[in-house]
Order: sequence, then structure tokens, then C-alpha cells
Amino acid sequence: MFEGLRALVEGLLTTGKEMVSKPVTYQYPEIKKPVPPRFRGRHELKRHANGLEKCIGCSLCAAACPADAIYVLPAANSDQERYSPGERYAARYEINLLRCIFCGFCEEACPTGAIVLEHDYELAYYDRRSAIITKTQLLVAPPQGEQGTPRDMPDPGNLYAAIPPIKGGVEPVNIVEMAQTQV
Amino acid sequence: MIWEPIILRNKNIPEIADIDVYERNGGFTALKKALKEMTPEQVTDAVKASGLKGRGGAGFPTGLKWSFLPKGVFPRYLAVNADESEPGTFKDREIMEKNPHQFIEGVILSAYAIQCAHAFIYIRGEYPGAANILEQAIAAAKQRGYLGAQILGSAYDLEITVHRGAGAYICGEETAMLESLEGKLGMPRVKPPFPAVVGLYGKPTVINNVETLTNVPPIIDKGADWYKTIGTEKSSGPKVFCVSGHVNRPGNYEAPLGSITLRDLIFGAEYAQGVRGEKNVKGILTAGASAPMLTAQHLDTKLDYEAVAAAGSILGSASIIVLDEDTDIPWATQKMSRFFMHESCGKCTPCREGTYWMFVLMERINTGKGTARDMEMLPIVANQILGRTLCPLGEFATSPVLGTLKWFKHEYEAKVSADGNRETEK
Amino acid sequence: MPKVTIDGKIIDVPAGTLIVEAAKPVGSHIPVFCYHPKMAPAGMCRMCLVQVGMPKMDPATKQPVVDENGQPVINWMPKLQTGCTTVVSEGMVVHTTTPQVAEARRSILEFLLTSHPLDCPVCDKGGECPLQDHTLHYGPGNTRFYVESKFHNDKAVPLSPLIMLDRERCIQCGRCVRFQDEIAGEPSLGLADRGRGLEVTTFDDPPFNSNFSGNTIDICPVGALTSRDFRFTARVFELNDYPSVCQQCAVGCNVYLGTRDNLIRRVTPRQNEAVNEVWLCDKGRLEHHYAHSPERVTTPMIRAESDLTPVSWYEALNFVANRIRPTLGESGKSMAGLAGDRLANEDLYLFQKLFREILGSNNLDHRFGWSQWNAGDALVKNFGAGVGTNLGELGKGVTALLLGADPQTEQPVLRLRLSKITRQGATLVVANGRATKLAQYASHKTIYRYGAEAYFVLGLVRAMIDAGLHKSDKANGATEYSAALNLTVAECAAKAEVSADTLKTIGETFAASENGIILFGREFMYAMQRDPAVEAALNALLILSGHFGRKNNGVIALYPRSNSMGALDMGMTPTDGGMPASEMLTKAKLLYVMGADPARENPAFKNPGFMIVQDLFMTATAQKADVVFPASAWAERDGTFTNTERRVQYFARALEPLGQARPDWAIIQELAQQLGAKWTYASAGDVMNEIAQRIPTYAKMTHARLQVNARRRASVQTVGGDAAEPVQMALGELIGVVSGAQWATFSETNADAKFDVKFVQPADSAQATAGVYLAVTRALLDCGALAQYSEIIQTRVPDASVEINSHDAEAWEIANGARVRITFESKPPRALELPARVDGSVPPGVVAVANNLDGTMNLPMGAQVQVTQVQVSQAIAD
Repeated sequence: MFEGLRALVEGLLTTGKEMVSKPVTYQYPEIKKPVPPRFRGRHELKRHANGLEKCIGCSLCAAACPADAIYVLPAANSDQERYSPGERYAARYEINLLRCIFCGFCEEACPTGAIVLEHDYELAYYDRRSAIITKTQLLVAPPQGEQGTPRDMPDPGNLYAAIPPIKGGVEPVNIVEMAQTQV
Repeated sequence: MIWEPIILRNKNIPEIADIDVYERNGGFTALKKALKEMTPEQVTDAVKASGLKGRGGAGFPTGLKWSFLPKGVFPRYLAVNADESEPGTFKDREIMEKNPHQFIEGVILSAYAIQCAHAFIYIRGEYPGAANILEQAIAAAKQRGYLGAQILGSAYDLEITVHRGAGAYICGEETAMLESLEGKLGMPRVKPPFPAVVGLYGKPTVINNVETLTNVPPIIDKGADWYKTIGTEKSSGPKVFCVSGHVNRPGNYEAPLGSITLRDLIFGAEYAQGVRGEKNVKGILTAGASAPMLTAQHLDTKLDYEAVAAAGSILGSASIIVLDEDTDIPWATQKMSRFFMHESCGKCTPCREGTYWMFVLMERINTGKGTARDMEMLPIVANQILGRTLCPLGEFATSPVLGTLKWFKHEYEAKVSADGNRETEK
Repeated sequence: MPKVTIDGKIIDVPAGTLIVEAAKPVGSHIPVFCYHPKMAPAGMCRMCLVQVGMPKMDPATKQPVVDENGQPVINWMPKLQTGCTTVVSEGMVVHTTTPQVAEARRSILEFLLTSHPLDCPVCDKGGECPLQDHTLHYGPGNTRFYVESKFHNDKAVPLSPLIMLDRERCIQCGRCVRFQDEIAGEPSLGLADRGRGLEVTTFDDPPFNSNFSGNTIDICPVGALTSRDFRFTARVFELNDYPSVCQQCAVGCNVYLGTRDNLIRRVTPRQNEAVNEVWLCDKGRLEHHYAHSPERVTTPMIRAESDLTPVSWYEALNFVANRIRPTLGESGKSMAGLAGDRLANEDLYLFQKLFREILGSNNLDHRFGWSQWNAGDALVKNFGAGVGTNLGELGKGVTALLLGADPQTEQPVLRLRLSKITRQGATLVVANGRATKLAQYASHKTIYRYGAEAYFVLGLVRAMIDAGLHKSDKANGATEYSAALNLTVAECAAKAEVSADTLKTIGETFAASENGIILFGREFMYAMQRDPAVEAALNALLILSGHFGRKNNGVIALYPRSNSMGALDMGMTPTDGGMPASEMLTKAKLLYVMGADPARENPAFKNPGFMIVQDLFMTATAQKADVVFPASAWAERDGTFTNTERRVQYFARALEPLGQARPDWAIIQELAQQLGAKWTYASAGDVMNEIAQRIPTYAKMTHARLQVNARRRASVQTVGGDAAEPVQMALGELIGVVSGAQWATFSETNADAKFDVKFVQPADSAQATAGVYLAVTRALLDCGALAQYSEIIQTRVPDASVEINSHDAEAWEIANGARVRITFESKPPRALELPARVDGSVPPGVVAVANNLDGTMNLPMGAQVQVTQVQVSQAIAD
């Protein structure tokens, strides 16, 4: 009999504890839960410090995408209408968020760090078509005080002119040696 | 014993550039003898028997080269390599400017030996004076019947064309020279086929150096046996040595092969008369920029092809550049690296990219930016070029670097630092 | 056959084989950049370094020295050797996988990458780039070079309207330069400067002026030369490459249509060693733009009142069926069908079946207008070049006789292939009334007088008979012929204005040769149509030389369009008393025009009463039609073409049809069904099955069989899988792919047949004797029916000009570049005003004008013209 009584008390205690402890639920959408820094939410297309788009329209994200959710249509930059450093930019960039599995392969494949999975997770839509987000929705605003794109650039004809300088150059990294020393 | 020159005869007879003087001093007797008494095969055999080796650098037996021509294929050509562009080489220039008729006679004799009707002299663009003198000498020879149709009444015809290059080191390479002669970009060809089979305009072609051909008239005139008595067993004949650098009396000196040592040449009273300012010898380049450097310990090396090779370098065209004890060896090497980078034709990858890389490394080291990593990379890059290029230029480009690294590594090491921020001394 | 050991595997290869080629069959992969199997080796990139050893020979016995195990002792060469320049020899041992070789490859790649910009993400070659592939397989994973010391050079240099050059990406392999020199024979490119500054340049004006320039893009092993047409429209791994056949000329080059988003993004050559090897001309590469032109007709239209108004398919078909049905019984004879010869065999077959079986009319034709002559059909049918003939592989023992053709502008890739055969040991004879590009490569070239073609050929026959080289075992009436041929070689030579020696040499060479091929072109077909003696003479030359019925023997007619041959085979000719095109345009009451535009050439052409036009565009003819059916472009459906060498080739569907467009065969079937036919073809393949059953020469030629080696290209995205073909193309790893099937001619299937030879006296036409002769030529790039939709082609269309011989120019006092007026008799009278080009390509008494350029359309071949200089008018002077 004691056995049963003890179990009852223990059970009530557990229930009672939960009554006085802080609730784990959030009053969403009034209160939003902060996400971990490496959370993979909706994509953003980033810009360089000088306001040019990082995306060069190389389609490597689309090639890496296991869900075939990304569509890129590239075009050539001109000196009068420059979007990104170098020769090429993405004229169209679309992601079908219904297809996307948020694996982050696109981010890994990106050679310029243009596409980043950010922290927006509110991805509900009233129709399927709105789930395909376009470049205007993906592209972040230019940094404070910088022009957006397209724009004309000084030093026409110089394809390197538009690339922001890398401080101190790049020291060659021996990946093989690095891997060996870490082991 | 003071050697009486048989190549640089102008040393004894200063007016020999005048055709009358040359004729009075036995000029064109060899030609007359050959055309009247000898068949082309006999001329070739005489040259073969003399043991004459090519004086352009490779040292290939001349008579043997002539006999490689395929039988019965005509026309064939003689192309004379007067594109003397190795740094520190100026022997051909003196021959062409001061003793042109003996050279022209040599050309005619050789052309007769290989039965060619048109010879080309490819002269480097920087020698306009020599080119003019040659053109005059050819005109004079023609006037006297040594050239043109039916030479000296025989059935043999010959024309000589002087072609001026546009200033490229690579055009001293025989196949690049042929390309340039044909009006194309001066780039070496793939061998085989060798020029003896498919050469100028796709025809069999013999290519000889100026000094080599200047040796031919005395051989024909006085006989192969006489010629063989000059020089050593394996390297017969006289050789013109170009001495330059930190010496008291730079210039061309003629001596039988193997008869003198480097020390004789640099310090001898009849030769370069010692190092400027009584300083010590630090480095010796025996074949311009293309040969590995020798040091003071090699001063007693005999000057013939075999002995220099035994010492770890090559005699090549015998352009001896002497560097004294104050020379900054890495700095001098950088100059040579820059030369090869600039002169690489760009046809094959290792030379085109490797010479550029070597120069970048040399420049870093010399401007104080060098690190131990650069020191490590220098021989790696050089060895990546070595043995993989289309023509010898790429290999030559590694010799100054690898040669100086062998003897003067400490000088390099003194210039590099851990962080690549060493103050430069100069 | 030297026996060599490569990586431990012993293989016999023909003498003269290079190590890189010998290594392919044993499966050893030797990477290359500068080497290309179609070009002479250059030894530039040094990527193919391998370890080579030779057996040590005993100088006394001349036998290999063997060690104690009985194995030959190998002398290894001190340095690595380039596999692309070293020829194999008996007993040679090659190692391609040793650490030394691996190190050499790694270092060459490291060197190349030090000056390469590594902008693969934005490079159009990325994904099919040999530099990427080799780096992945053999390269270092890192660089030891300093990024800031990297060599920079010009990027995005427009080399021509078609090609963009990136000098930074260039690895100086010289493939493009060598292609232009060796294969295209148009040395437009050169290398300039030296060392790391070595760069590709063009000295042409207009820049890089070559009709084959696009091939340099394909063979470039990096992204230095890229197409401006394809530039930044897709990554290569996003393309779907469908096998197709180029529709622009009768060569029938095999191509891939690279599509993305239902648009053709680029056209690249597909290997077929029997047709185009790996090449493609610029026209074929660029003309695809018409397929998705906004000017395409996309709905059926019928003429309501005065305008053509869009209607549904049902309405349009009903409209036509109602119009035809009442007349089916009695007046079928007044109906006529005209079809273009760019259409597929399936379309043409159903078209003639519709007319012959449903409408009861034989009024069918595909040849109309200036370019097509009804001549030589029987020659091809009887003596067409034997099955297995490969024009690019002709070598020793073959004489090819090219008559009245200019393949440079009319069959460009054929010109590329024929220009190498003399190097392979074949004899090439080029004879025409004017100088052509191919004549540069000929063993014998000659210019005869236009109008005296019969005498030229008869001269060859006479020379053959005189030398006793003729064969009469397959001829009926050979002795009578020889007696009837009442002309000597000298007389023929005098008439044709060539030297008698030339005629004699050519005639005897051709007859004495083991194999002989005759190719005749458009200009010769014109002569054949004008004077039957020409065809009779050619017939005699073939039969008496015995050059037919075997491989590498026979005739090839160089037709003007992609399926001219197929149209003949399908029966698109007015047999059994049918009206030919020239009659039907004026006499027929009902005209069905499919893929043809007679009104473009003849603006006076009128709707004969009721006209159905089935086309891609609102052509000049369609504008006069009562009904317009929108047909789908060749890329939007599948089918087969028969090329000028009688090779039937399959092309796949690459695109969704635009709008309501339907394949031609499907439209014809719908119409036939409306008229009561019980046709049930579900696909073009069904039609082809019927063709294979009903046309004996096409027996067994089903789509399934023709699709062998004509499959979709494997995706290049599969890294590490089998190397996909575009990569192979640039890598230079080509294997002998052949697809398609040739049909056998009468003389091949009937080995015992004998043929009649008859002498026909040539007509001495006035054209052969007096006046200035107008030779009508063609420009490759024009503003033709399809080419006008390609912007890049339009930038390169030459200005029309008239070629005049320098002697004539002197006599007529015409300076080079001066404007001249050319007048000739025609109805209505016409006159041309063109700038004169005084050069040596035409003989005296002949002027040549390309008739497919602005203002020179529809010129009469062989007209008598007057040439006068135009006086500079006062208006301009003021």
C-alpha cells in the first residue's frame, strides 16, 4: 500500500513542480524564440562592402542543390550597368522554398559567399507561387551610404576595378599540410 | 709560346677585312683547291678527319653533321647561325667584322661540301655593322667570282643571303632560327624530325656556327692532319675565348683547345691580365648565362670540352664571365633569371611559367622579402623545369640558379628572413 | 606493326602511331592540352610526359639483349618524353603511372595554374574544361605561388562577333592557331609576343574572318575562346544536349542542340567520322535562332474576307477538307504540291502519299527557282558512291574529281574534309569555270570555259580511251561509243579552253586510279540540265572507267539543301506525267506549299485559286495563302534527313513546339484523316517504319537503327564518371564514332548489271562562244529564309559585289571597288549596281555574283550580261 502511496506523491510532486517552474512555451508570434547562430533559415543574397552584389550568377548553388530548388539565369555586366564585380551577374535568381530542404549545400558551394541561409523561418504562404522567391526578395539592402545595383563604375573596361581590395593579400594555404598537422 | 691565330687572323694582320689583303695572305686558296681538286665528299671527309666540333655551344662533330643529310634530296640549305646572343659572347662579331672573308670562304666551302645552292646567314639584329660588312664582303666575293653562278669556272653555283634577326635569344636555337628565317614567330620546333632531314622550308638543312665555318678554310688549305695536331686528342683545333667581367683586359683570345687553363686565360699576360683591382676571383661563368657557375677552386681546369664538363659546367661557346669577390651572387643570378624570363619564347609550359616564377622568387630574395620558404621553393621550381622543356632554353634558365645555389647558398640565406622583412643592404 | 608495352600491357599498333594514341586502346590515360588527334603534334604544353624505354640492342646480332629471366633489358631514356610527339617503335616500353610521371604532370599543372585566373565560376567552359578535369585528376590540390605576383592580361576581348577571347585564361597551346592553319586553311589567327606575354591575336579585317571559327571554341582546352552567342546563357552542366543533324546544307553535320528552358542555347558538333568528323561551320552553329523567333507562326490561320485570321486546328483542317473534298474525284489533277527540301523524309513521304493516294495527283516537286536543276538523278541512283565511302578518309589509290562545285560556300565542312585528302595520298582534281578555295589543295586544278562542260568531260573520256585505260565489261556499246566520239583530246581542250595536256593527265589519272569518285556541284548540274550531252558524257566517263558499285567509287551530287537527296528518294518528283514546279506555279488550281517560299524568289507569283501554306514563318508565299498551317521547327520534332552522300541520319526532338505548331507529318496526317484516310501514325518513327517497308533502298532504316551513336549526351555533371563527350572533344580523346546509314545504289545491289553508253553531240550554245557570262555563286552567310533571324550571322554577311577578272577590268576601265552596273535580259528587265572586286578568281569573260545577298536575289545563272561603270552622279558630287 505504501508503495502505491509513494508513487502517487512522487507523481503529484512532479506535476506540482511544473506548475511553479517557468513555462517553456513562447507566446508566438508576439514573442519570437531566438535561433542559434548557425540556424539555417531563409536565404539571403549578400553584397560587398561597396554595395555590389556578391552573386556572380555561376549556378553552382543550383548544381549543388539536391532538391533542384534554385534557378539562376546569368547575364553579362557592362560598365554602364554593373551589378557585381567581374564579367557576370545573376539576372534572375529564384528559390522555390517549397522544394528547399534547407541543407545549406548552396551556401557551401557558393564561391563568393553570396548566398547565406539566414535566420528567417516564417515561411508560410497562401499559394504555391508565392513560395518561389525572386532576386528582389533575396537581395539584402546595400550598406549604409553605398549605392545599390545596377550602377556605372569608374575605370571602364577594367574587370578587376570593381572587386573590393583584400587586406594584405592572400597568403597561400597548403591544405594538405594543414590536414596533416591537424591529424 | 704565343699562338699565331688562325681564326682571329686580324690580330696579326689588322687589314685582313680588305679582300685584297686577305687574298695576298692566302685567302681563297682553300676554295680554289676544293673546287678544282676535291669532290664535295672529299671536303666533307677532310672536315670529318680534322675532328672539328661545332663552336656554337653543343660541340657536335661538324663533318658528321654534314653527312647526316639524306642522299639525293634537293634543294638543301646551309643556314649559318650568327645569332650570337648568349650573354658574354662576342667572338662571332669580331670574326664577322674583322675577318669576314675567311668566314665567307668557309661558308662557300661548306655549301660546296653539302652541295647546296643557297646559303643563309642569320645574323642577330643587334649587329647591323657586322651585317653591313658581310654584305659588302659577299658583294666583293661575287665580283671576284668566288660566289654566284659557276664559281671559279666550275659547275658550282651559290648564293648567300644575309638575314637580320629581330633580337630574340631563342633564335639562336637552330630550329627557332629556321622558323624565324621562314618569317614565322621564332619558336623551336619539335625534334625529330631533325633539320638535317626537314629543315628550312621543309628541306634538308645544315646549321653551323660562324666560328665553326671559319675553321674550314685552314683545314682544307693545310689538311686535316695538320689541324689535328692543334688542341687535344678529343677536342682539336683552336678556340676563341671571350673573356669579360671583372678582368683587366676583356676581349677575344684564341688558343688551341686544352692548351691553357682558366687561370692562364684570366691572369696570363697575353690574355686578360688578371682581375680588376687585384681582387680575388669568386665565380666564373664558362658559357655565358647558360652554364652552372664555377668558383675559384676550378681555376686550374683545362679549357677543353671534356675538362670543363668534368668540373661540373660546360664550355659551350666559351664565353667566360669572371666575377670578383665583391660580386653579390644572388643579385647577379637575379639578372640572369630576368634575362631568361624575358627571352623565353612561351611555347612550352615549364619554361614560360617556370622562368617567371623563378624570377619572382629571386626578386623577393634580393629585395629582402624572401623567406625560408622561398629558398625552399627555388630549387623545387628549377627542378620542375629541368628535363621537361621543348628546347634547352628552359634548362639553361635553371643553371644560374642551381649553379649558384650549389656554391653560394650562404649568400642567399643571408638575404632571407623569417618574416620576409629584411632591410636590403643596397 | 610495332609491338609496344604500355603500363605492362602489350599491344600491336600501326607504325607511326604516337604514344598518346597507342595508350588509348589499352586504357592508359595520357592527359593532353595542346595535342589534338586531328592535328599535327606540337609538343607545347608538356602535359603528356611519360617514361619511355627502348630495348637494349646487341650491336653484333642486332637482337635485343635479354637478362637472366629472358626479359629484354630496357634502356630508360634519361628524361621523360612527350607522348604526343614520340612515335612508337618495336619493343618500346612506356610507363604512364610512375611517381616520376605523376610528379611531372603535377608540376606542369602547377605551372599552368600560376598564371590562370581560376575564374571557373564565371567561365563558360567550366564543367567541360580539360584544365579543370586534369587538375582534378592529376593536379596539385594547392598552389605554392604568390597570388599577388599573378600575371594579369586582357579579359573579355571581342575577337570577332562570334568569339570572345580571355587572354588570362589562355594556356598558349596554340590549338586554335593550328586549327585555322592546318584544318580550316584560313590562317586568321596567330601568336604574338613571347614568354608569358604570348597571346593569340587576329590580323584579319573584319577580325577573325573565318567560316569555321566556332570550332576553335570547341577545341580550346580552357575558357580562353568562348562563344558570344552562348555567353552567360547557361552553365554547360545545365544543358540538355539532344542529338540532331544540322539543317543548313546537304552535308548533314551531326550536332548536339544544347537546350535550357526550352530554348536552344548552343549548337555543338557531334562526332561522326563519316560526315563531319568533329567540325561544324559557323552557319550551322549560329542559325538555330530562328527556332524561337517571335516571328514564328503559332496558330493556324484562314483567310476570312481579306485578312488571315487565327483559328483552331479543327476549323482550319475542316476548312481545307471541305474545299478539297468535292473535287477529289475528277479534278485531282489540278492540285499540286510543292515542298521544300529542308523537310524531313517522314514529312516528304506523307506529303507525296497524300497527293498520290488520297488526292490522286502526281503534281509534286521540290525543285524550283534558281538553285535547283533536274539533272543527274539517274547517275546518283545507279552509280552513287559505294556504301562505306568516307570522303575524309580517301587516301592512296583514290582519285576524286570535283566538277562545277564550290564546297567552301555551299558544303563548308565537306571542303574541310576534302582539303586534307591530298595530304593522305589521294589525288584531288578540281575543275570549275572559276577558281574556288578547294582548288588550293588540289593535285590538278583547271578552269574550263562555262558552257563547255560537255567538251571537258568528253575530253577526259577520249583521253582515257586513247590511253587504253577504259573498261567495257559493264558497258553496252563501248566500241560504238568510242567510234562515235568524233572529237580528239585537243579539240575538246580547245573548246573547253584548257590545255590538252591537262585533260590528258586528268583523264588518264582518273582512269588509271584504283578508285575514282566524281563529285559534281550546283554549277555543273546547271550545265547538265542545259545540255543533255553533259550528263551523257559523265555517264560514259563513269561506266567506261568502271569506277562505280564499290566503296570509294561512284558519283556524289552536291545538292543545295539538307534533304534534297531525301526528297528524291521519297518520290517528291513529278513522275507519270505530273507537273514540275515550273508548270504548277502557273497551271495548278490548288496549291499546297510546304516549307517553301516561291514568292520570295519570284515576287510576281500569285495565289493560283486556293493555296495552303505550311511553314514556320509568315513568308511572302504565306501572305498570299488561303490557309496557313503552323509547322514545328526541326528542333521541335524528330525525323530523318538523307545527306548528299545518301546517308540517312536521325535527329531527335529537343524542344517543345512553339504555340500550336505541329510537326509537318502530323498536319498531313490530320488532313488525310479529314479526307477519309485511315492513317494511324503515332510518331515520325511509325512513318519511317512504313518508309523502310515500302521504299526498297530504305529497307531496315528504322529510327531505332539510325539512333545508334545518336543518343543524348551524358550529363557532364557526373564528376569521376565516364568522361562525357564535350570534354572528350576538348581533351582530344576522340574515338571513331559513325552513325547513320547509307543506302546501296543500283550498281551495288545488281553487280551483274550492264549499262548503256551513248554519245550525245554537245550543243554549241551561244553562251559558250560569246558575251560575258554571269556565274551565280553563293555566300555562306546570308540573309536567307532562316539565317535572317540570327543576329550574329547578320553582322557577318558580306556586302554583295561582282567579281571581275583583272584583264576585263582593264578593258572595261573598271577600278577595284568602283560601282558597276550589270544589265541582262529578263522579264521584267533588271539591272544590278554593285561594287566591283577585281581579282583572279574568275577567268576573262566571266563575272561572278553571289545571289543570296542584299539586292542580288534570284539571278539567272549563265545569263549574258553587260558590265558598265556607273558614273558618279552629280548629285553626290554636289
